[in-house]
Amino acid sequence: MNYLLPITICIPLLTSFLIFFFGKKIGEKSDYLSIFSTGITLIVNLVIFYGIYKSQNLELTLPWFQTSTFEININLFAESISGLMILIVGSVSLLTQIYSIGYLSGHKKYTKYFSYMSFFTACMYGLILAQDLILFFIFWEFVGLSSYLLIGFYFQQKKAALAQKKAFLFTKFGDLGLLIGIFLMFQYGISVEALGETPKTLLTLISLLFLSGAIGKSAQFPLIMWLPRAMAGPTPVSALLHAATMVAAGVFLLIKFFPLFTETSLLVVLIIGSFTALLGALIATSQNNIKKIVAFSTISQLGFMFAAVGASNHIAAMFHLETHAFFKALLFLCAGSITYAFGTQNINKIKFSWNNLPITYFSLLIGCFALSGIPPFNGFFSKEQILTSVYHQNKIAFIILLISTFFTAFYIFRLFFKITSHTEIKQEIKKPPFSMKIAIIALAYLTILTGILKPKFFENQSHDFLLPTLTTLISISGIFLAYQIFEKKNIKHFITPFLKKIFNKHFYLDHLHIHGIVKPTHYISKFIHYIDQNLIDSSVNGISILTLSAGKYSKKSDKKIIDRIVNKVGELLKIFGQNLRKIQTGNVQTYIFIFLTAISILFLYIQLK
Amino acid sequence: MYHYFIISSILFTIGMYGALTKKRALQIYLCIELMFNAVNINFLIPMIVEGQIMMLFVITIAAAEAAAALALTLAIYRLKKTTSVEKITTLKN
Repeated sequence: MNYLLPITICIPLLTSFLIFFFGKKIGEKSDYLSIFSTGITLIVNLVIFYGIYKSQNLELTLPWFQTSTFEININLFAESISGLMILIVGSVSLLTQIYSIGYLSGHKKYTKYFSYMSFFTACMYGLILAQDLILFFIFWEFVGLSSYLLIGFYFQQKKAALAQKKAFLFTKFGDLGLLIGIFLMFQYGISVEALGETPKTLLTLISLLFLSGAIGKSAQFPLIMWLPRAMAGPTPVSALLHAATMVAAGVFLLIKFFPLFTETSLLVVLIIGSFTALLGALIATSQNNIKKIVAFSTISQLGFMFAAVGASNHIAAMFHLETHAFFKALLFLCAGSITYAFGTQNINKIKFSWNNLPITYFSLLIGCFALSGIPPFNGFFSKEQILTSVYHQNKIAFIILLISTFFTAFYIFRLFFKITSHTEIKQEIKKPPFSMKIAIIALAYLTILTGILKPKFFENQSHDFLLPTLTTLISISGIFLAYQIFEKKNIKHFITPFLKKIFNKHFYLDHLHIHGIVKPTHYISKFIHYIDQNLIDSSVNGISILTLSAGKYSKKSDKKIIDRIVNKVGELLKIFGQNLRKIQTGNVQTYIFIFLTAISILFLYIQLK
Repeated sequence: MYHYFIISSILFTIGMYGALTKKRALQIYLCIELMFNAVNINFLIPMIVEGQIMMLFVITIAAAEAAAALALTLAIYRLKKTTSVEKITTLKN
């Protein structure tokens, strides 16, 4: 049973290598290979989850390497949360791959794409199951690498190439903190299982460093801007990246290392989370690109999860991670099929209705309801738990999250009402292929089911009916406002041009990065360059001039004294060599004779001694 | 036991004499083989397993060496049209 853990990681990893190196031979069939292996892994994951659910946690320790002072083991571990997480990753990965068959068919790098997808999935499994810090960090970086590869899948476009670079640098900046945190843990011999009597300040420092890694990966404030740029990748990639793998890794880090967090650092997590939730929701209200709206909604929802961790209810964060994975993947896949049908991502140019894209229409509706948190869709249950725990922790954060909930419902239904029409539209549009429909329908079912059927540990402890009713009412009012503005056009849009400009510029976060970090770095490097040229270069030149003149003097003394000695030695050797030459006849037998005589003399000497 | 030593030393001496005096490369090679066998007899005298293993080892190496030596001899013959060691003194120049 324990050996199922490495198998889960290895199957997609091997598939990925197989497709990567033999992709030309496998050809178009590589999509089936990849999907088949992901399916098998999903079955393995189900067995693992069932095993955990029935009996006990799974753990596997294999020796890796050791030094004189400590040894490093490969340590894989699965308990209920990671068991659930691998199930989410497996199912979302499987469905997005099925979707990709239709979405990407005929693309030049079709086989490479499936190789990357399998690799991505394998790395995420490794990240979830790794218990020791080194293995965890390796897989953490691999997840970053594979998302880099997938975001830049259309790297011929300059936009995608820049986006992949940006994503890589932003996440790497956060990873630096995580790495220092891991070093500190090794330095002081701290492990998550046995915290013991570690000083509070040290724990706070380490947990804040870990938090920086999570902020980078999960695109929280201030490292937000890579995620909307990452929309340059193919849409199924965005679905996987936003739902289950890349950005979920950051939240999963917080959940996994939750025992490390002290009160101070939890407060920081809560502040960052609620602030980002509001920021993302506000920016999303004024975007015109369908994928960008969903991307900012991811940032906002991840803020909710951070806030849940900050309110020390990491179970609720995990629950929201699960429900969010399904409805966000659903929203992305719907956005993908709309883009497929209309060839544009601009919401002002899209108009469809339930008669020409029925599956997409109703699935999009389900996704929007789940995101807004309307019962009985899954988003309601998790969001309600988060809001309840934040309410008991911090009232200000609670109000911020309520406002974000309102805007969440508003922006997603703004999107919905803008691109759909409730009357029939007689216009022929490109129908999505079968595989895309299947994936969307499956995700729509999962979106409804995961809220109602939930594992035991997600059961809500408090039975307070006031808060859920309040949040639902707030969401409904958001939907109603969007309906009045964009469908009925009764009310004028309340967002003033000034605010709209700020939202459109993403609160000037990009400007902040360029003017606050990139430009100063340029100035500093120019200044250092100036110092280098004028100060250091001139001193180096001075030293070289001194050396040259010293060399001239030493040359003279060299010729007179040392050269003569060397010449004499050389002449002596020459005379010696000329005499020695006479022995060399060139005849092999002479050599053998000399050789044998020498050996005999040696033996005699040893015997006599 | 003593006799075996005498036989092996006689064989060795014959081989050594041949290797030092014969002119043709093949003859020298055969004499060297003779010396090998003298050594092999020495290995067998104590009647222990290690000695026998060593003997087999030497024979194996001798076989490999035979291939190399014959090939070299052939190559030299093609190059110089002779196998007489007295005429091949390229080491000197």
